[in-house]
Amino acid sequence: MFQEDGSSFVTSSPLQMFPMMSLSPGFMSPHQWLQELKPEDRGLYLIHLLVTCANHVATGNLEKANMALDQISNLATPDGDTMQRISSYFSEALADRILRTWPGIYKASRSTRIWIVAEEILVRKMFFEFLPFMKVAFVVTNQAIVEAMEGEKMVHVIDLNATEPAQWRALIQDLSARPEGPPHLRITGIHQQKEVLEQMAHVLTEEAEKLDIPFQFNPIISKLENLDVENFRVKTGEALAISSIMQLHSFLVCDNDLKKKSPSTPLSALGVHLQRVIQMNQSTLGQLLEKDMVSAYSPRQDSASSSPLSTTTSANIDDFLSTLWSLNPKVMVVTEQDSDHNGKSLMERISESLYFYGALFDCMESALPRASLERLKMEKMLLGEEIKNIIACEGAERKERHEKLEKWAQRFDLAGFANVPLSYYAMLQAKRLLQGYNSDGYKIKEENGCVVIGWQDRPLFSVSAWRFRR
Amino acid sequence: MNNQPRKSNLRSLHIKTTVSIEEDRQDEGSRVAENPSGIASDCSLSCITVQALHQISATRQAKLKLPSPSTDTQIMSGDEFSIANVFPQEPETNPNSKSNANPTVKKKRLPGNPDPDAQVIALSPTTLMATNRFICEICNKGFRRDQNLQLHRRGHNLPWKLKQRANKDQIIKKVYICPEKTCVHHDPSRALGDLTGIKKHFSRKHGEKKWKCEKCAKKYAVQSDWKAHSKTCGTREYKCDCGTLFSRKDSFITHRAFCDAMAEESARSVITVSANNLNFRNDNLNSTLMNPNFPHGFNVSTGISQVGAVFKSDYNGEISGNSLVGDQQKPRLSLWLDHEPNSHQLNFIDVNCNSNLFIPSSSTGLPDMPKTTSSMGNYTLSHRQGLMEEEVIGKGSTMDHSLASLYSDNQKHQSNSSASMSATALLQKAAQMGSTKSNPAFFGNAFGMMNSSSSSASSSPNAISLSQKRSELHQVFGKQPENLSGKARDSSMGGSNLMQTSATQSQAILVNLHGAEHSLTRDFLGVGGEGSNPFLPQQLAEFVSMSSAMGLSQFTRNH
Repeated sequence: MFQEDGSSFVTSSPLQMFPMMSLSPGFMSPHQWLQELKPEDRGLYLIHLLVTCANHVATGNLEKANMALDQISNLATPDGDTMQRISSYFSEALADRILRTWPGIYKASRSTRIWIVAEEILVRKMFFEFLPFMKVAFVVTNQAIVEAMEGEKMVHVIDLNATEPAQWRALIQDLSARPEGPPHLRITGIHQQKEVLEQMAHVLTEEAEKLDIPFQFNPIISKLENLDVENFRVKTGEALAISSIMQLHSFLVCDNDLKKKSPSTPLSALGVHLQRVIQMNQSTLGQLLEKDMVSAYSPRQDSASSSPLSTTTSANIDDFLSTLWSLNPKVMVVTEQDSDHNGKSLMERISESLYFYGALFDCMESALPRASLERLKMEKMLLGEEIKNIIACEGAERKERHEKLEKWAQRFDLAGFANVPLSYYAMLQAKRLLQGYNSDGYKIKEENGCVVIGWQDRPLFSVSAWRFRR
Repeated sequence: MNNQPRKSNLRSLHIKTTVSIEEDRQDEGSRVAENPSGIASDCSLSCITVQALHQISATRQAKLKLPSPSTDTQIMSGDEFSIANVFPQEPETNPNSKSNANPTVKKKRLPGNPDPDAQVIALSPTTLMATNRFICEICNKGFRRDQNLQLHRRGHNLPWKLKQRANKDQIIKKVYICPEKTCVHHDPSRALGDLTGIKKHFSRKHGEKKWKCEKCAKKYAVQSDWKAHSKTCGTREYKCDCGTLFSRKDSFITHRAFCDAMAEESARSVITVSANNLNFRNDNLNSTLMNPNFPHGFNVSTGISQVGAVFKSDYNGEISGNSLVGDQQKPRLSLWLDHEPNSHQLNFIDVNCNSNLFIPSSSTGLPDMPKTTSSMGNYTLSHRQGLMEEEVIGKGSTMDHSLASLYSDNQKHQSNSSASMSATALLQKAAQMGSTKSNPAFFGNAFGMMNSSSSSASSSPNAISLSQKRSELHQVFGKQPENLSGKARDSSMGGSNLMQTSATQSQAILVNLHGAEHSLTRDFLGVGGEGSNPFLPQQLAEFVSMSSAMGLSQFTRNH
């Protein structure tokens, strides 16, 4: 019986031959049959390879992971079709994760890497310009703010990540046109780059002067996590709005750190120790060691994290939310990636993010030609980096801890916020905006007073509004 | 609908642009059509105060949109002129243009003069907010004044009684001031001409807005305002030629104002960039012109004339010239909010302009900005250039693309639609392929089921049988772990084990192709901890099915 199986299988599958060949490098160079793969089959095969490889990485079977990555590299290319592109970034992320188990090699391989902040900002700007998501987020956020601020004479808006003046420029225009006349407007922008804030201040001040509305920009040069609330300078009598666009998930970090402490095996005790070292020294070595631990023992870690102990709530996000809450905001509008990339196990995260970024890459495909340099940059520097962070990083370094709207809603509720249903008009504006894109792939739906934007059936981003509740 | 600013616009038009009565009439006409109740309520109030019964019919006419509105408004505008003289500096008008209709009477008596004898009345907020005390016993409708109830009762054919004034000449004009001390209408010289007017003014300006529109965010203090708004809210669509749609006229008008401004600005900065960019702008212009959606549609003229009213001085000339034609008009790219990428080409151009707006271009010059910023400016420029190239590439690549597809059609199977090649579709397909088996999922609930054997989508009978066999194999293995270890030994001969995975060491099943015993490479993809072995044999089956005849029969023969 086995023989029968074997014959039918082997005769018909060139893929069986392939793995052998990859074992003996140089035995046969470019594999002919790869060229003959139909794009669809190639895509399916890539998915399969990614899953295989991810399993190998998760179980620490690096040799096999290496083989899988080798195969992927033969099929994937960052300027091919969506599956090829996405496979490139996922394989890179997996490789990055493996590489981090050898801190020395990892550091050395990155020692000359240049990361220009301006480039990164530019890439975000492109993402804002070419894809509708940021715009929808801006429009809905602004509408919620304008509605909440109706009749208010002193309006203070805090932008947790002030990179894009367009949003506030539009808000200034909205406010200047409101029937009861414009309010005194103050915008507090938080960003770690002084230049970015100066830029924003310039644009906004100019706009406010043009429309003749009283305006003040309050720049806070800081990382979000090191924020000092005193800097907000919230005054009594002013109505406060907070806008957070894809920022809050990075506060979930502590959540996971706590989880790691919960398992009681000696192994994880060591992990805890390492974490303490990190916390105390901020030492890179310690971090790398920790990463080492994480990757080397990831299967154990994964299984451990599914224990009931791991449901401890995160201290960090709670602290931050209660800080925001204490400011008594009239409205807080939150945009987040609507997908669970904060799973305990690596495989969970990979599968979820494969769907999520698959959809995002499809959006790219619909928006820009394959040869587009902008598209390549966005995919590499924005989406690719997120993928890498989700897959390769652990602990405090893993920032892209996207979670679903339900979880956020619970969290906000616990933190003393009440949901503010988004208005019909906000929905309408968002819909219109999406209709403007010549793709029917974009979907928008209302979910308990919140907006979820997606691609086909896959939810991608959620926008929700909240207010201070006693 | 936002009555108030509209009316003040009108007022200013009446006062300042006597020439444009034609336009006004149109405007007024459209207003009547749009908002019959608003006008009707104004008129009926005035009628009642004047007690000129025959005018009621005129009101009805207006209500029913009978043909007279334009003449009415003409009279009104004439009158308004005189009112403007009476209260020369009044910029913000009494929203209930009672005074507008009243003057017919007043003017007869005191042409062009403020009434020195007018009795100034100050009412308390409580009185002003007082609800309707006089109730109709038939329909329960409430009235603030008995006289109005009497008029109403006539409609039910009930006995009614109206007070008659003994002598019409003795009518003493009353004006009402707002009790709010900070209000401009607190000053007797700015008093409002009728009771309802002051009441509405008071609740609009100083009262609580308790009437909230269900559809949009607007709130009203006066119920009739709310009603009037509710009737029209969301029923219309206003489309700017930049492509943005609006459900409400006022937001549309606001937008238009800025849209113009932005277009100007973008035009300015685009010009500074390069000749190439100008070309693009032309392209864009053409495409805009060819775009059948370009005209505003029915509401163009009103929209624009109102914009004109808001921005009295600057836009008037331009607007009258441009309104419908649009040939001189710059493409409205302005706000990112408005950008409607109808094509890639448009997209790029929009972006060009946007980046001009968002980042001061280096030509605009920001001497006081730090160096980094100017380097950012450079980035923008290069970015823009990149875009321009991209634009060219984009055009080229569409050709390439089609060429390529032709090519590959010739070459080989390009049977797949592009849709099925999207990552989303592929992932779905991959998940479906495994969805029939009940293995604990590794890929959510769907993906992990790739173990399935029965759902082979392939047309190859080989593949189907293969996968069935494989699942049997799987079962065998599953039931006989001791067997597995035996097989695992063979694995050390190390062939291509790429496809092989083990969830844990103990589960390792390595069946070697080179191994004499088995020709199958088995694959148990375990998820850490869960001990499940979901894998994708189904996919392998797929690959099998699509494979060419490069079989490994030589290996099989070994068996």
